[in-house]
Amino acid sequence: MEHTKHLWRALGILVVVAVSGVVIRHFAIPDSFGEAGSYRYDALAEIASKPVVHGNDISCRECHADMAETKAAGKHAPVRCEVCHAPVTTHARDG
Amino acid sequence: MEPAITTGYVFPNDLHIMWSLMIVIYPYVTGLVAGAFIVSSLYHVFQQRELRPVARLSMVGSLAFLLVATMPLLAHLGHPERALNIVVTPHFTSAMAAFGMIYTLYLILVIFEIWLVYRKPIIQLARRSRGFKRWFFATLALGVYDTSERAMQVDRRTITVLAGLGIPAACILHGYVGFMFGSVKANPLWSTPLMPIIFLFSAVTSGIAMVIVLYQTLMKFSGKSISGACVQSLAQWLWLFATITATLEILEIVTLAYERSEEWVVVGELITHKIPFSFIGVQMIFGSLIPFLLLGIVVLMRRFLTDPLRNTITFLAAFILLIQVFSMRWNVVIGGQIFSKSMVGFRELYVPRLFEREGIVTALAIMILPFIFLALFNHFLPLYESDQEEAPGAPTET
Amino acid sequence: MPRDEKVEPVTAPEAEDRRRFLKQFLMKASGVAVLVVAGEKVFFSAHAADSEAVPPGTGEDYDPTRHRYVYLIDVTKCIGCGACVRACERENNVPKHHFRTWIERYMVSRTGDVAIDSPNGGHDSFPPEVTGDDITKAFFVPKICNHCTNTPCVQLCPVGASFRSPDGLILVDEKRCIGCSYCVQACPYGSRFIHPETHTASKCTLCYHRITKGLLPACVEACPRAVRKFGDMKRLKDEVSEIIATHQVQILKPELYTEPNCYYIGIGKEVR
Ligand code: HEC
Ligand code: HEC
Repeated sequence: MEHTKHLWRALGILVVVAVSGVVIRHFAIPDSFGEAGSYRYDALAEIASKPVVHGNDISCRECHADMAETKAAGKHAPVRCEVCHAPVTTHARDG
Repeated sequence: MEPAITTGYVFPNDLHIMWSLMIVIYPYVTGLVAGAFIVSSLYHVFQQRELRPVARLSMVGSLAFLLVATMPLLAHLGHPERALNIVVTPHFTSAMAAFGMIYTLYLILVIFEIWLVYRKPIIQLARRSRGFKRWFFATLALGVYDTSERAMQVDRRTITVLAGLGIPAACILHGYVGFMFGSVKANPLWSTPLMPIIFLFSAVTSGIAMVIVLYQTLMKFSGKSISGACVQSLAQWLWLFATITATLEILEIVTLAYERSEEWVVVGELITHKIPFSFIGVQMIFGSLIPFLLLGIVVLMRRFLTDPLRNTITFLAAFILLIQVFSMRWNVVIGGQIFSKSMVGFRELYVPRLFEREGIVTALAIMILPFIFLALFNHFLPLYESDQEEAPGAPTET
Repeated sequence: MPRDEKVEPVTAPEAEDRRRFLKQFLMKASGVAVLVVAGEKVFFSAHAADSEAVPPGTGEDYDPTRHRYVYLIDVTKCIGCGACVRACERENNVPKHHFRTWIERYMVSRTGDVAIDSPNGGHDSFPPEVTGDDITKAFFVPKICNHCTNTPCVQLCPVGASFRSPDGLILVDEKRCIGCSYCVQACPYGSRFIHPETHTASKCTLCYHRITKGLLPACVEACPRAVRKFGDMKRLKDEVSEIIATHQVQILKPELYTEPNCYYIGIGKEVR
């Protein structure tokens, strides 16, 4: 085809742009993406590794057995220690 | 953030409006993109010859708005630096994920078409100028200076094909914006299959209106005469599309009201008590009724109108319709968020602030940029065809 | 239902995935467990011995495909104390005026008027309400993310930052989220918000960092009336699965067909 050189050049540029787009995209996809669905599978472990703040009543019983008994005998037996007191991980850190 | 003033019961997380002025601007801008493109296609594909004076203007106008279409989104995102995630890992069940692709394809199409339309003037400029300017336009011409009749003919055919492809592309580009709202089932005001259609028709309305305003302004500034036939034709198209748009907008509300479903309790309250000014006042009466009457005069009393009178009336109607479409975007986007998803409470009314990331100044800046682009473009490559160019071989002639 | 539209080279066999998850999990998660106050490990392992509330998680060798979590809220027992909201706030560092869980109070008068409130999400419990109406019934409804099976929020997320995990939870990948807040619009229950500091979507994770270590979600742990129950459908003799299987349970906004995994006992027509 004569007189269509400019069109072919434009098309060439398009192809170059498209191919580089695909290549860049390939490298930009995060590691574990798509392993179990359309999301980054590593996110699961990341969310699971957030720090735990609250313990539970057994946590307190380890050190405050007497209090646990007092509470168990009292009217507030169903109320968890951490509802009234600070959570275990913020507690008794360096004595 | 402080707790907001609310009425009724609002879910505690629903206190503030999440989608702000930027998300009002965004469908407005894409609407102008799609609408202006349709005008150029009316000429290129549907052979509406009297639209020739605005064929180039509408196409470049479409590009000008397209170039800023992503800006309101970037201004809105919590993490604009991650915006490209949308093309890197698109999640295809999301309407929004399609944006990257639709936008890119449409951009390529419009640029390609404009390039073909302006190829001859570009080559002429490259031949005429020196230094950097010459280099710049030579690059734009991709180094091919072929302006033979055969090459022009090939260009014209390609343009027609591209303009044809552009119609579905423009419809998808804007229909998708409507779908983005229409597919949110949690929101009774948005969740209707009519939404994409309403958006499309109002997009075409705003596009035609914008072309009318731009054309008349451009002609005034460059001291040319305004083509009465062109304005008349635009006015007719505008009348048609504005009427359909208003009908659809009213239909949506009437259906909701008539069904008397649970949603109407909250939507009815919204329309009559929360946004009566912007909905009933601006969108319906000022924005739809008045232009309908004005354009009705232009269309039906054609014989009695002088050119300046017709131009002025059409300009006025187009300008009001631009406001109407903006208010429609506002009422959908903001109105749809004023009620809480508890369906029994309303959030604080949203008033954008002047200086904030998603504030009025940002919005104005985004809306002004396309006009600066158009002025710059016009400086090098005229947005209208000069009389000499109408000689045989003019690039856009079909 | 795992969605797998992406055709990319990463196709490690499932067993390998699991091993990798475990490896990372051991590195990060148990590392944390050791790091926190001395002896904390003891609390976690000690918990398993608690006969009242055996946690559904299995500690360190955690495999997400072997769980399917459910949640049950018995509205008839709730006293609106707000302990759950406060526990959640501390556990997950929830920003002020945003809620991963909250409590609503419904007050219905003889004429059928419903007054609903939730001052500060019930965080500070509820002040006595003095309405002129003659209130004939009143109740508290705690709310969390419903972790819907057919959820609009994941469907609408453009980048795959919101996802449904193999154990049936709706989670947000904070490193991918672009903060468009489309999911916030899409959630019919108002469970999501944009975190004012990270600018990403944030929501209830059912304390994923706790349940994967065999602990109960903080809100369940904090509740003095056992209103909130946490269960695992894939576990034999699971209390919650048993209740759901044998009792009348309700869900919120069933007409939207989101298939919530958070079930209710005792909610009526007034509940939003
Ligand atoms: C590792 C052991 C340990 C555990 C577990 C523990 N505590 Fe303590 N706690 C202590 C020690 C030691 C002190 C005394 C610190 C001091 O006097 O400075 C203390 C002090 C306290 C005090 C303050 C007493 C006072 O007189 O000021 C309270 C309240 C308390 N603990 C509550 C709890 C609760 C509630 C839990 C469970 C969430 C808990 N503790 C778990 C070791 C523990
Ligand atoms: C209903 C709220 C509540 C609950 C539940 C509760 N406490 Fe307390 N606790 C208090 C108050 C109030 C005091 C201060 C009493 C005082 O100073 O006489 C206190 C004091 C203490 C002290 C310090 C006692 C001292 O001699 O100074 C310890 C230790 C303690 N609590 C541990 C626990 C543990 C362990 C549990 C759970 C088994 C628990 N508490 C549950 C309200 C509570």
